[in-house]
Parts: sequence; structure tokens; C-alpha cells
Amino acid sequence: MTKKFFISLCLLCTFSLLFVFSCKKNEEAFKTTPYVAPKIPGFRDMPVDANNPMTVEGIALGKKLFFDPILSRDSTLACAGCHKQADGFSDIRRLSRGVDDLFGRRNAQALVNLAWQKDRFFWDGRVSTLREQALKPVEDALEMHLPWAIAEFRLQNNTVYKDLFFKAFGINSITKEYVTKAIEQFEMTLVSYNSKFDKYTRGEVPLSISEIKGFDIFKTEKGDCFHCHSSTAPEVFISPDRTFANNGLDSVDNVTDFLDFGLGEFTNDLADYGRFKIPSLRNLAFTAPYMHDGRFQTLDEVIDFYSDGPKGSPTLEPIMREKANKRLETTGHWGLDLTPSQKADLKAFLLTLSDSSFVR
Amino acid sequence: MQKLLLILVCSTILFSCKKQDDVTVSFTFKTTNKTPNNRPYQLSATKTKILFSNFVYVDKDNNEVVVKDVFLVTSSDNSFQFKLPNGNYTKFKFSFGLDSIKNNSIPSSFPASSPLSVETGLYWDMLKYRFLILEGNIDNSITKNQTPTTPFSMHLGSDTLYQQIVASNFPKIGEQLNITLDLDKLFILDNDNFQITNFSNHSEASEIANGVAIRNSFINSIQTTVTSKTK
Repeated sequence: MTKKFFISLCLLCTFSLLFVFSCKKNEEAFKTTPYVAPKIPGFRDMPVDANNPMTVEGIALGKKLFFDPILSRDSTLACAGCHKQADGFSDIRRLSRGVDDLFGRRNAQALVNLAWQKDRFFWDGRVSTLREQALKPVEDALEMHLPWAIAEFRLQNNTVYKDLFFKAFGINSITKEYVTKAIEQFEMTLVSYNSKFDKYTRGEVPLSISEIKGFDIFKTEKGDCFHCHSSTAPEVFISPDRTFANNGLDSVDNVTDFLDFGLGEFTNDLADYGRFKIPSLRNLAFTAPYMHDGRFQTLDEVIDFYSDGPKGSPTLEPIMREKANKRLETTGHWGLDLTPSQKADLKAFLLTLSDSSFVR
Repeated sequence: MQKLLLILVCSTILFSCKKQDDVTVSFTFKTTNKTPNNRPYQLSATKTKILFSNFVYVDKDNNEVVVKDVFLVTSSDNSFQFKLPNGNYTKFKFSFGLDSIKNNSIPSSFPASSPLSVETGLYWDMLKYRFLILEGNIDNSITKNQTPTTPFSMHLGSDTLYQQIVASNFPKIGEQLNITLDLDKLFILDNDNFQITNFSNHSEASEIANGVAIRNSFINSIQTTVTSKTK
């Protein structure tokens, strides 16, 4: 009895010690390093999300996931497959091709300074956070086409990821919520701030005469660009009070005639039909083609489009219609009617927003 | 225990005194959803913003005491409070828009919490601060009896449109100034020959007169009343 009791006591002590040490080991292992966002002159402070605090470990994990095809059905396509760094984290193809050789419906958006893009993500604004955005392509039949349950299973059975998830989040059971949190953290660090325009605003380099003329066109009613793309928000060049617009790409009498309903597809509000998320103008030199459907292959085509004038539809951005009507009354031109020289100046300015150090 | 009770009682008295000393300024949007020309319209709640500034008390010697620098009235933020400094006041004034000094300031120089920061999006490169943003849908039909579906946007700004307003009466300690803003009056230019959907701002010379007309119609309709907060 005494011997049995003694053995039981020893076993209990051993297990207790093992338990204590294993806990201690976990506590020591799960120690994250907070990420300190750089202070960038001329930029607002990077917004932080209390629900997903950024850590060095979380960002490293997110980066690995972003570049790893493990999240696609046949393990051939990573996020980076359609958001290539060399192309400003965008896709030079008009429509991206998924694992089943099917094409997506819209041009892959460039990823840059996403922390300052608020409200909604995707061209149709169907999600409100980056981590919600990251959930979608994995299961989308036109993209990576992998059920999340399988993605989680794959990661759970991968010793490298198991370790990385523990280090980043202190979890042993990997779920899609943490996968997308990690990707969100990485995407938040895709910060571009060394374009020529950035350097100009920091007083490091001058703009050329043509670029300055182009900036004047951009920020005045000559170009009318500033209504949607304000330079007062230089992080993204998207006006803070405007997230979606119908910029007059298509002419329809009835909004239900739009080939792509855009925001309206998500809200079911007729007033939102044909409206799409206003994109950042950063890194335009690398992010062709342009518009939600990638219809314009070059910046020249984009400028020609605005110079000719928007096409009419019931949800056309009111400012565009008002300005076009006024121009029609006063000058007889519906569009901006830019001269070749003005077009060249505007293009020169727009190209100053590209940051080659970001795409290396 | 007795000390704790004493602290509690003192705190209660202090806080109740503070509340009593506060003056509140409260704005109300008034709309019938029809223009003076009887044209139906609907406003976007998130795109209805009006900027007021320079809330000041004036004493008998014409000394001015600023109690609030800038306030952006929106559907969700329509009142503020302040502690009224001692004085023998005779008037309360506030202004539509920004004076030229404020209007020529740079958004990035303000913290995110300020109405003048980049975050509020009031600043346009060319126009500077927009004093008023009004967006929504309007019935553009001749019959004026349709559901409003045509988008419109009205954006007023520039130094010219800054206008001081003297309240017909002023709030004292423990009182609230109620300011009613009649949004219908912003559509004063709407008539059968003028399409409000063709008007966005007055930055061009031809539009300044329109901007002034709209501002005057709007400001002249502003009503102020004072009520006691203790009631």
C-alpha cells in the first residue's frame, strides 16, 4: 500500500512537473514583438486595428502565407500569383487566371498603403476589412478554389506553419481567422513612400515643369481628378470622403443594363449600380491595365477617356455630370478636352506617384 | 468608510456643478424632403455635413470670448458643450464656414479628431475647405412627383461664402442653444429653368453668385432658441 502510494505520488509529481514545464515553455515561446510602424513624413500615422495588433511574428507568417501556394486547391497559386510585387502587387493581365484555368471577373487590385484605405475592399466593396478580403479568394472557384476546412487541415499538419502560428498568435489549432489575420498584418506593411512625388513633398527632388503643370491639371477643375483622388491624402490619393464612384465608363439608360453592377451587387441598391471602389493612384507605372475590368491597357488610354468625357448613366458621379454639363454649356465640350501637351503633362505627373523601390 | 463617503458626496456635487455650468449648442437638420419648388429629394445621411466656426460670446465692451473654434455638423454629431467663462455677455455669434485664416490652413496640420483634418475629407486641393456638403437624390422629372433617383451633389466653399451669424438670443449657464438648419432652403435655386443637378460648387466665377444665393437663403432661415437644460 505504501509502495503503491509512493509510486502514485512520484507519477503525480512527474506529470505535474512536466505540465508546469510545458506550460512554461509555451509561455516563453509565445512572446511576440510588437511591430512599430515607421513615421513617414507627410503621411498620417498608420491606423492600427485593436482586433489584430501587428507583430513581427504575425507579419512574417503573413508574408509566408501570401507567397505560398498552399492555400490553393492544387498548390500552384499563391496570393502573390495575382498580386505580383514586380507589378506593384497587381496583375498585368486584364483578368487573373485561377487554378481551374478560369478567369476572374475583374482586374486584380494593386496592393499598396492599404492601411490608409478605409471602409471597404474589393472593387464592389463587399468586405470591410483586409482580413475579410483575404478569406474570399481561397474558396472562390475562379481563384484558388480550396475549401477553408482543407486549407486549415493542410496548415495544421505542416510542422513549420504549426510552429509559426504558435509564435505569432499562441495558438495550437490553426483556423482561417488567424490565417487571414496574418495575411492582413503582412499586407498592412506594403507601404510605398518613395515615389518622386513623395521625394518632392519632402523637398528632396524637384518636379519637372511638365510634372508641375500636370499636377496643376490634376488638382484643379481643368482635370477634375482631385474630387476622387485628393493629394491631401497622399498615402493613397483617394479622397477621404469618397470611396465609390461611377466614373462614366459605360453608357446605359437603365442601371440594370450594366454588365457589372459593382457596389450595387453587394448593397442591392439601384443607386449603387455601376459604382466601383476608387483605386489608389500609387504605382500607376506598374499596375496596368486600369479600371475594374482592366479595359485600358495604358495611362494614355485612361487620360483620353477622361478627356473625351464620361459616358452617361443614371448613377454617373454627379460631380462628373455637373462639370461635363457646364463644360458643354460654356465650351461646347462634354469632356475635359485636354490638348496633347496637357495630356502629356498630366501623364508626367501621374507617373511621379510610382515608387520603383516598392516593386523590387 | 467615512472618508470614502465624503469623497463620493464631494464628487457628486462637483460633477453635478460641472454639468450645471456647461452650455450646450445643439443643431437640428430640418427637412420636408421637398425643395421650395416642390421637387422631392432625399439626402444621404453620411453626405450631409455643414461646417460652422468661431462660436463666440460678446460682452458689453465688445470683447469676444471664443468658446468653440470649429464644429462640423453631421447627422451623427450635432451638439457640443463648453464651460462658460464668467462675463457680462450681450451677444452670441457663430459663423457659417471658415474665416480666411482657417480656410487657408493645411489639413495635415490638424489631428485626426479635428473637423479640419484630412480624415473628414472636407478639403479639396483647389477649393480648399468645403463649408457644406450635401449629396443625395432628387426627382428631376418635369412632373416633380417621382421618387428621387437622380444623384446630385452640392459643395459650397471659399472665403467669399464665410458668413457670421448673430444668434437672436444667447445661452447662459445651464442652458442650451438650439439651432435649426432648414435644408430645404439650400435648394432655393431650384426652379423649372435651373437644374440643381448641374450645380456642384461655386469655384468658377459663374457659380459664385449661385453659392452666395444659396448661402443667404440658408443662413436667413436659421432659427435659434434657448432652453433650460434643467427642465
